[in-house]
Amino acid sequence: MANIQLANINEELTRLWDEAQGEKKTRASLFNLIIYAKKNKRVDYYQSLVKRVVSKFPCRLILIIGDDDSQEEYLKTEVQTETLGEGDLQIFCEIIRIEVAGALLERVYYILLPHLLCDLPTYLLWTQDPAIDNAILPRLESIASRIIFDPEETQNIQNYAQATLKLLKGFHCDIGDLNWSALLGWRNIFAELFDTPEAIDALEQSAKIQIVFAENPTLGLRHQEIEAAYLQAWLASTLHWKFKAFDESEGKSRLTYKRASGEVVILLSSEKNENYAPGSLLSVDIESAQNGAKWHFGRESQTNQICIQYSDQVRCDLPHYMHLQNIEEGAEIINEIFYPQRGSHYYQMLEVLTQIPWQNK
Amino acid sequence: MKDFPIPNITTITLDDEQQEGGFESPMKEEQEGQKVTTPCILVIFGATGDLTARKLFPALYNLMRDGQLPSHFACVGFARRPKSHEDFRAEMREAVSQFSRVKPIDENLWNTFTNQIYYHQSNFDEDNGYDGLKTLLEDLDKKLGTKGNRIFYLSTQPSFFPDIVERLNKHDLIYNTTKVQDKWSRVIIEKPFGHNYSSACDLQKFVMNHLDESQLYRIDHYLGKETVQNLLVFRFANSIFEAFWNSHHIDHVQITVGEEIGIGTRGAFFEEAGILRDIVQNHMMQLLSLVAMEPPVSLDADAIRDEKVKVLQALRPIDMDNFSDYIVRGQYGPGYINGDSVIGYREENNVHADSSMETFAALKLYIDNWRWAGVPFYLRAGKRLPKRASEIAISFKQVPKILFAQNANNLENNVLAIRIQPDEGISLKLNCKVPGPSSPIQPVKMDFRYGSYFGLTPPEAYERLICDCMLGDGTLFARGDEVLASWKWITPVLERWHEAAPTNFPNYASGTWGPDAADRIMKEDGRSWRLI
Repeated sequence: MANIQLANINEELTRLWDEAQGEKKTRASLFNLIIYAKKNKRVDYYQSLVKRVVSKFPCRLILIIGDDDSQEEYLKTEVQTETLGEGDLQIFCEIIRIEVAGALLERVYYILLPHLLCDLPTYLLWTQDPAIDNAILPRLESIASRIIFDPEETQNIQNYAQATLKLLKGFHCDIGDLNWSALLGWRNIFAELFDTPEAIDALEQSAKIQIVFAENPTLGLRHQEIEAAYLQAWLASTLHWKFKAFDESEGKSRLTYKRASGEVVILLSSEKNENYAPGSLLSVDIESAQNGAKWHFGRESQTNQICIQYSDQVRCDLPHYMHLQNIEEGAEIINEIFYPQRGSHYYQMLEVLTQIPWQNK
Repeated sequence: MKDFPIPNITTITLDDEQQEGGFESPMKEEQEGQKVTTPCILVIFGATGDLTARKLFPALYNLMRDGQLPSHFACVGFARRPKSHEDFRAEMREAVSQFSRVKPIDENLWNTFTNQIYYHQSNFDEDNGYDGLKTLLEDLDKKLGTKGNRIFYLSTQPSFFPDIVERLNKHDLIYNTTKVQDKWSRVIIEKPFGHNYSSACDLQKFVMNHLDESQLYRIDHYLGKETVQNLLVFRFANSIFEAFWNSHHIDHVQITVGEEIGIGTRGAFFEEAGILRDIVQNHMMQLLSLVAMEPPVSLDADAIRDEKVKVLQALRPIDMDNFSDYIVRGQYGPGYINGDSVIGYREENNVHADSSMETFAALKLYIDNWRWAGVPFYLRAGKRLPKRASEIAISFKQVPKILFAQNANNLENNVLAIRIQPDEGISLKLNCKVPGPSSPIQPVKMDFRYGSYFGLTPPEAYERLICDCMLGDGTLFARGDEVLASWKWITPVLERWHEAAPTNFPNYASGTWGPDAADRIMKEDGRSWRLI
């Protein structure tokens, strides 16, 4: 990709399209996707996300990489095209990559506006911490059909939850959350397994829950515990537990909730496991105060299956397996674009997270 | 006044009958749908101006290239600056090289064309100049076989129109249509035709003393664009759309004419005109009438214009008591275009530092007739908007929210968008199920692009309009009653604005879609402007 003038974006895309037309391609877009990312180590992740999205869905993708730490001002623009499909069904879609630094960042809104395809939804993946005031976000909110946040980029999970709740009330557009989407498979398994009053009752009376997640050396991630944090908060909110205490030491988080009769302690701990993406949940162990019931949910190595074991004072079931949906890399953004699920559970989970004094990272 | 000698070029010998222009060769076969231009001379008043260089000569060159100029043709530039034929030809060659839609210039073609280009120097108010012009044109008739047919293109400041028309008539350059039938003379007038209703009426009355309506071609270059012409075909040659083209099915209509450029070197002009006079009164009202008109009884110019004028006559007068609910004005301040910072209107050359002139207007109007009862038409036009884009968008009513109640928020209106420029074409927005077990709904777009389907660069609007004038087809030109009807509706807005100077200018940043107040008039109706 070569640098081009901002004013020549459409001209260049048309040129590329004209060149490609002889190859039986269709130029199509289902939506506009804007990814606003800070120039840091996680940019590579967003680049892979871009590839993932355009490999499945034709869209106009605008990747903006902002560098507010730079001392110099610069604006670099590149365009490229991607082709989906084969033979007579090739679809041609467009990627615009803009790098902008310094004071030029305030021009992002103006830069974007002429390049959105009309009559199509515009999704904004905002990868900055929404808890930190940013002059660009409110402007982009005015043109977005949905804003999708990446909580991984937040400094503090508590602040993130507070800010997101506030934005949910104030924004005209819908809000998405990559992490909430990434948790969809686990939430579905819990919902499927605990589907009787008796099972819910046993779960509600949990005494101890241990959630283990993969923690691998990575330069780009701040919060490898975030998926675990969301899961425990979702459990707490759906089971109506009241937050009591939080303690973080030696890389482990210990959360205490009050339940109807007693307390439940939730431990979040990590384990090095390079078979899984950083932050992926590896296992969940639940011990209930009722009848000595125990559940073990464990990821089966390198598959999308969860092995589930149950035992109590009188019963010991054979292990069985459930399918974990939505674990392919990039699936979370595709879900947030096409299948957003933001009912009351998301709000209630955020409410729980707002009470937990997570440390800054 | 200085007259220049005509250079020695190939002389075509014609007999008397041919020179009078009354002879039709029996060898010619009229082909269906194909009109043939007749010999003529085009005289451009104000030939040293921008329009001539940027639009008119490139249009003439391309008409010649496409074989649409008559074989017996000449173009005479009429302007005040002293200049030789050769100088003028050299300047026009440069202009065509720079501004023609087809590049590079074809040398062989140009060598032929250049011999048909002449220059005549005179002030517009000097009788001698018109005598000299008459002599030149008669000489050219003899040499080139142009048969006495004339087009006078008034590409001058509007204040010169009456004087030029009067002198053309006085010097028998305009023929009386009741007495002269073997040759024709036509006058093309650039906008604006008047600066309000009263002045337009005065101008109309004055001009009609010197020529008749059939000789006057009020040019509006928007009407020459392919997509605008296609509107009639689209509406009346497809049964599926016309059936829904009414208040039962259409929620509202949005018409946008946006430009990313500022006023550039036109500061002095814009300070007198403003966007309402420059764009809304003419281009947008023409688009509105084409979208909203009833089917004409035929495709004759007058049949179409009869229907267009009815639309303008049916416009509901503005509710002056709730003026701001219907009309918004704006002026651009500093901002960013294509990533570069740009100055505000008040900092432009030849603009007052506290100017109240509007560079943006948004209007909500209603057409009080059977077809459009209750359907709002939202119009917006502006300078220094994010992009150059002109389009008409028909937004259809939503389906009842019964079957897809869960997706109610994602159910969008079907929108038929007719893009006039750039990337001429038509698109239709539909709601579609996303593949998969659940049923989320997502809007998708079916798109027709002229460039992709026909593979040709569409002709410039001026090519079509000049050609039509040569053919005597006034369909794509505004008729007097249309212009007056438009001014009649617009003038109260101008008067209201004149009475109350704006207190919040500039009220939108360059590179944005206009002031917040424009969004408000939509929001109050539960709608929003399209993000084009």
